This record gives sequence, C-alpha cells and structure tokens, in this order.
Amino acid sequence: MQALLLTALALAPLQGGDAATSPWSPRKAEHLLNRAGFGASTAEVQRWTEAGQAALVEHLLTSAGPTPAWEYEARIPDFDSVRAMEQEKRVRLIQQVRQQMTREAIDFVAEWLEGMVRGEDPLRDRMRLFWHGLFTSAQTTVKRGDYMIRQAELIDRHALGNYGDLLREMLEDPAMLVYLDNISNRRRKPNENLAREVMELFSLGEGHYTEEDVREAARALTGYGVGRSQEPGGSFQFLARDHDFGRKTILGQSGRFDADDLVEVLLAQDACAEWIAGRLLEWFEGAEPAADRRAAYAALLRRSNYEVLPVLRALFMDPAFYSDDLIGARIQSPVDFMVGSARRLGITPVGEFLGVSASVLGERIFDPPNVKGWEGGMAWINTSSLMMRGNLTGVVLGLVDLGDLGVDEELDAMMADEGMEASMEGMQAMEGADRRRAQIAPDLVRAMRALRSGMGGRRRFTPPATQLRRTLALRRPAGDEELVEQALEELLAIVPPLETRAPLVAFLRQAREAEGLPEEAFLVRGGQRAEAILRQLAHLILSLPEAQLG
Amino acid sequence: MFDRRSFLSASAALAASPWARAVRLADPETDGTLVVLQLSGGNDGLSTVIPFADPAYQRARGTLRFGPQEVLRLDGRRGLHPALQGLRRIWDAGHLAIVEGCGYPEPVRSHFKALEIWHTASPRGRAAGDGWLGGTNRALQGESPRPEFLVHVGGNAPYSIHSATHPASSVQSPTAYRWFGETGGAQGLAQCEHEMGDEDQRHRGRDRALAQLRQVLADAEESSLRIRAAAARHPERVEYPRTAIGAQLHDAAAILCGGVGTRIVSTVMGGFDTHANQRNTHDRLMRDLDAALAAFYEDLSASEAGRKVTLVVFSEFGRRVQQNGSAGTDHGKAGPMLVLGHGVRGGFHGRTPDLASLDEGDVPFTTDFRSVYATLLEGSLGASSEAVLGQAWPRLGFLG
Repeated sequence: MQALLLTALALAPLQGGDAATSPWSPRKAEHLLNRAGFGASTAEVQRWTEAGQAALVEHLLTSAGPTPAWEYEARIPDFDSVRAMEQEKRVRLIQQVRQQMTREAIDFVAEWLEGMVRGEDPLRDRMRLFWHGLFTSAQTTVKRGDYMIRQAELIDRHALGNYGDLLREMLEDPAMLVYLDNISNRRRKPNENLAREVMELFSLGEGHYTEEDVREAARALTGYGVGRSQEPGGSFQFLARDHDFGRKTILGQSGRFDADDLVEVLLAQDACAEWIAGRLLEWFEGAEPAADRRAAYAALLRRSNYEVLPVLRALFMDPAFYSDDLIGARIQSPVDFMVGSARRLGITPVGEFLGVSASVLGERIFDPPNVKGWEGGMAWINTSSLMMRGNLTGVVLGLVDLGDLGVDEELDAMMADEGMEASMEGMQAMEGADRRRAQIAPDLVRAMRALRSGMGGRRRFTPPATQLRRTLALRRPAGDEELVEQALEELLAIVPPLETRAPLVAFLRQAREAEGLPEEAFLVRGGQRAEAILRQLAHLILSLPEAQLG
Repeated sequence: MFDRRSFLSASAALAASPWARAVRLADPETDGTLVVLQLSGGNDGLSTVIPFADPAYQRARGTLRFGPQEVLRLDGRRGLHPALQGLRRIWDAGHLAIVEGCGYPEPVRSHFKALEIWHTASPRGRAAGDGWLGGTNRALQGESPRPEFLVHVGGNAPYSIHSATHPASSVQSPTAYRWFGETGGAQGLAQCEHEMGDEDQRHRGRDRALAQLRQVLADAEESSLRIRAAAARHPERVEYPRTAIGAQLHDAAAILCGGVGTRIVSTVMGGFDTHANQRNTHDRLMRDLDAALAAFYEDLSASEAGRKVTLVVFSEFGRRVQQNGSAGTDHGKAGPMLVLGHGVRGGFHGRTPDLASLDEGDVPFTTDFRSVYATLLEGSLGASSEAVLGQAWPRLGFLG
C-alpha cells in the first residue's frame, strides 16, 4: 500500500534541482531530526547521515511506549465529609485541593519538557503536542489540573496509535466534557458546543457539515458527563436519563446514535481523513500541503484504518518532505525554541523554567488560546516575542538576571536629551517610570524565579556549564572564523546564509582581543574568560532571526 | 566592549527593504486615533444592551433575563447591563454611541470563520488578504511605514492587524519591550558591510522566512525605545483596575498619548464564550470591562491627545436569543457595537433589530459592521474607507 503511495508521490512533478531529488545529506537528516523531534547536536546529525534515511526513520518510529502513569499526591476528600463541613472550611479545603492539582499539572508539564530535552522519545513527544493542539482543552476553563493530566495521558497512550480510538475516548474524557460544556448537554436541554467543535476542529473541518448535523450530533452526545469520583483524574459517567435515545440523522446516516456511533459516522467521511491528514502534514512540514498530497495521505490514512504510524513513515520517506521550500523555512514554536536551544547548548534547565518560558512566548501547555489551539508559524513572532526569545536565552546563559532589570539608563539618557528632567512633565515621567521599574518585566522575572526554583532558590542564578565549549574545543577550530562557523553549526537548526558570519566573527575578534586572548586554541587557553565570551557569542547567535527557524 | 542591540541592528539591517522611514506623526488638529477592542468568544449582546421591554426577549431569556428595574435604562425600551455604570456615565455625557444589530449577510457561527470576517471585513476571510487595520496602516503610511503606527497591546494579536507589507508592533508590556542584558557599548557593527550572498535557490524557503523575521527584528529595534519612552512619559493620573484589560487599556492610553505617532491600538479581552452558567461569568466580564473603560475614558479626558481617541468594542457574534439548557447561550449572529470617545456623538445609531422576526433563532443584522468601520476610518482616522474596505459603505452619524 505504501509502496503504491510512494510511487504515486514520486510521479508528482517536482520543482527542478530541488533537495527533494538529491541524496540523503546532513541537511536532510537535521531537517527530519528537527521536525520529528526537537533538534540534535552536530555529532548526532553526522551519525544519522552516515546511518542513512531508513535507519533514522525506523529509529524515530520506534517508541518506548507511553510514560508511566502519574502518581498523584493530591487526595480528593470524601464527598460526604466535605458536605458536612461548615461553609468557610469547605471552601478553603476545595481551594486547597484545586491548588494542589494545579501544582501537579505544572509538575507534570515540567517533567514532560525535561523529557523532551533528554530526547528519549522525540516523535512521541512531538505527536503528543500535535494532539494536544488538536483536541484542545484549557485548564483555565476546566479548572482541574488532574483532569488535564488525565487527558495528556490519554493522548500519550494513542499518540502514535489510532486516531479513531483517540477521538472515541476523547468523547469520554472529563477535561474535554467540561471544557466544551458537554456536562450540561442533556436530552431536554441540549448544548451543542462539543458537537460543533468535534465536527469543525476535531474531525471534518468547516464546510463539511450543516447546522442540522451539529444539532443532531449534539443529541447523540447528550448524557455524556463526568462522575463524582474520589480518584484524581475524575471519571466518565453516562447518565441514561439525560441521553436522547431517539433517532438522529447525521451526515445522511440515521440511527439511534450515541457517541461511538457518531465517531463511526465521522470516520467514514472522506473529509475526516482529509482534515486529519492535512493537519498532520501541516504540523510536520510547517506549511499547508498541496491538495493532491493531502489527498494521497488521506487515502493512506483511510487504508490504514486511521493508524498514524504508516502515515508518518510514508511522510518521512517522502521526497517532497525534503523540498527546498520546506527545509529551514518553519518558525520554531516556543517549545521547540526553548527545548531545542537547551539541547544544542548541552544544558538541562529545570522543566518549570521551560514551561514558563514557552508560556511567556505564547505557548502555554495545558492552556491553548482557544479551542482551535495554537496558530503556529509566523503567528509565533512579533516584535515583543522576538525580543523575549533573546532575553530568555540570556537568562538560560546567565547573562540576564534580576539585577539587570532595575535600570533603564538608556531611557533616562533619552529623556535628559529632550530636556524633560527639568520640566514638571519630566518629573512626573520619572516617578511613573520608577513605579513601573518594580514591575518592569513581570514575565521575565517569572521565568527567572522558575529557573532559580530548581537551584535551591538562590538569589543569583549560576548558569550550568554548557557542553558547548568542550564540544567546540574538541573540534579544534583554526581561528575566529572557523570557531564562528562551528558555533553556528552547533547552535542553529538550519544552515545559515553566508552573511550571518561576518558580524559574529567581528564580535569574537573584538571581545577576544579586548581580553588579550590568543586566536589559536582560544577556547583551551582562554579559560573562564573564553567561556564568558563564548556565552555571549551563543547569546548573539540564539537571538538572531536564523535561530528562530528549524 | 560589544553591544548586542547594535549587533542585532546589523542583522535587522538585512531586512529586505531599507525603507527611509520618514516620520509621519498624527496631526493633532485633524487626525484622531483609534482603539479597537475585541471581546473574544462571542459576547452576549442581549445582556449588554438589553431590550428589557421586549416581550420576545423576556420570553426567551428565562434565568438570564434582566428586568426593567435591574437595567441601567437608556430609554423606554433599552438599558445597559447593571454593571456598566461607567459606560452609563459616558452615555450621560453624550459620548457613548451604540449601534445595535451589527453583522453581515450569511453570518457564520464558527468563532474562527466569524473572526476572520470581522478581521478582514470580507466574507472571504484571510483569503481576502490583509486585515482591515493592516490595510488601514498601509493606506495611511504609504511607502515609509513606522512599526509603532499600529500597535497591538497584550497577547493574542488578531489577524486584523496583519499586513504583508506593513507589519504592526506587538507590545506585551511597554517596560519589558526591549533587549535585556546588553554586554557593552561598541557601536561599530551596525555599520558593517554585509554581502547579500547565497542567493541560492536551494535555500528559497529559508530565505523567505528569514526576510520576514529580519523585518520584525528591524521593527522591534526601531520601536522599542519610542514605545518605552511614551509609556514612561505617561502621567499616572488615574487608577486602573488590576485586571488584564485594565493594564492593556492603561498601556494603550500611554502609547496613544505619548506622542510617538501611534494611530491605532488593538487589544483583546477573552472569555465571552458563555455556553453554560452564563450569568456569573458574564456579570464579571461586564464589571471588568466597565471598570477598565471608565478608567481609560477618565485618563483620556486629561489631555489633548486623549480627547482625540475613539474606542470601538466588537465581538465576533452575539448569542442565540433563546437561552440553552445549561443556563447559557449558544453561538448566535448579530450584536451591538459600542463606540466611545470625546469626539463621539452619543446615542443609538442604526436600527434596533426586531426580535419578533429572528434569523434562525438569532438576532438579525440591521447594520453591516463595515458601515461602522467606514465611519471610524473616515471620521476618526481620516482614511479613505473605500480604499481600505474595497467598496463604499454608508456612514453612520456617530462621528463628525
């Protein structure tokens, strides 16, 4: 089957001279490692270039299986005893349990992110993020950290498995049922929120169903709710008295449908396979696929009965996946950027820092901006977030710390230039500026605190040694130019254009000469001063537009 | 020593077109400024501007109903949500305009499709190209755009500000709108000569993305100091509520009154998708919105620049007239837009929708929202609405 597909794809016309038609190369290996995982060191790229494409694809597709179940620390108090409490005590207890659950959700995400940095199961993690962005639920709405953990575990179980199974179980998932209001979808009082989003976002895409289909699907979902469970994670509950057992007509099919039947009706739609295949291709390729490729992958998805592994295998072997339009053209998501940068620097910041950083940059795991998930691509980048990416890299490297946030000399100088200090307006402005200094960069401060939390709460963050200096020293660069060349190779997920190098070489030379350090064997002979300069060089490189791509 | 900022300027200087950025500040004599506030999720218009005397309203809204004694009466038929006391004061001062029944033909109930239509002023959504504010940016700035002309404040920048040629700035918080941790003061590198080599087809995808990123970097560089200066200059006359929307409107006022040439600010308040147990949630949203708008309005009244500001509130759709079984409301169609500012002619504009003849259970639209856009473009920004919106729309009477 796959062979058939690949033949069909091979017959599709390709643009001339494209990477798609050229042999396996470090550039292609790194592309696959970026897209199917979270990037790799230059040594790994080299290793997989030699091992070959098929070996790398099989390696990526071989997963250790889902992460072991989360062991909750929080205990949900017995319902009857809570009911017996006086109001004030009860409210306090409930609040306490909620907070504990929220804490556990933060820890869960932190561990997940640390796993991404270690890179043990990259494709599974990448697919978990995909499904999390497709089957969205938001903790701010659900208000139960344990429900979010349970949903993440459901996704984990099916991350590389079967889409149909995932969809079916999602309709019995407590976080989902709360998030899209199905807990109040009852026979006599239908609520169509879940039914609509199932069709619009989780299976068919807009334009492939009618308003009548939404109403009828909502009837099929009546009575699907959440039970009162003392187990953390909650429980699904089907309430027969709230379910509408009558006949429904959905997308031309009629029957006494329930949620499972609805899933069967949806899976039988061509639009469903098209939608999921399109979303998958876009996720890995970073661009909307052409209609014919989407159709070919949709057909493969249908033939595999919605198993995703065959689709991923075909995609990673597909020459079109390695097109010059795609390689190096995707904007890294905040998680990609934070996790990938840590991996390339050879450091492992605490997961909570990675989580806070990603959320500051617009990707708060467990809290998508809306039911459609994260938009991705160029939407990640604006003037604020681009500067913030550089600032967070500075935090990781120990080059931006709380002490740096208190002063804004540049601004003061500018106001002095304008002669504003002397004026009344100037005085007011200074006071206003002073007041705000306390809260000058709340997001950055949050990230720094998270980083420090993993270091015994010390006031000044001591950056961990990077692997970078060792790695580069071993590569024995002949001089400044070669050192910059190699640092770019190690730190970027893409091959940079030629013009990126010159100003970096100028920086390195200037900084090195200012310290009176020799060009030859600079990294070895320069000691701590060389390390400091190298960190600055790394900070510059990771603040570049080039570092946002992968 | 070395300055990371000027180094990055060098990188930014590689942006595709090194535009000569001639300064075009707002002319305070003629030009106004505009704030576009989006209520995401679909605000329940019938619980915002309440047709309390309409029996059809009273019948459809069981537990969500507001009685004649509860609303802040505007006339014999309509009143504001009880929490909107600040807006009521602005109404009394004659500077709150309400346009009921705003919508468009063949309305859609998907959040995303509906938002695209509002953001692009076109039924084709993103397929139509730039957002309407991005298009305004292009029309007003021409060949020498400044990035702080159009600023989105806070998170979740909407598509409306998008322009392929005239990118907007996005400011999460003005004080943190900068590079931190610079390592020194050497300025030399900004003048470095760069060869634009590598015009290799092999890297065409990368180079397209890089060109966009470099433009954003250049815009960040250029607007960073000006935005922070504007915010620092802003006298703290008014206590804003400690909510996200409060902070956003504070920053919007600071930037607009800071004399850096910002003409348009966009900002978003979320949480309006009230499918279940709407009452508490929506009451809170109305309180937060009102407190922030009241502080904003008071802040603006203190300066000349502030009195040139017009603020418009919209949402992607109203909600179903009949409340649902979960004491909430599902996605609907038309809803009211609110416009306020010292130059706004208050009162009701447009036509009140007739709840006796609904559109599939929804409020039918009586005013195309593009008429409101056109009025704002011409009356507040001095832009040609036809150039921005692609066709002429009848203007309403709330400005000029």
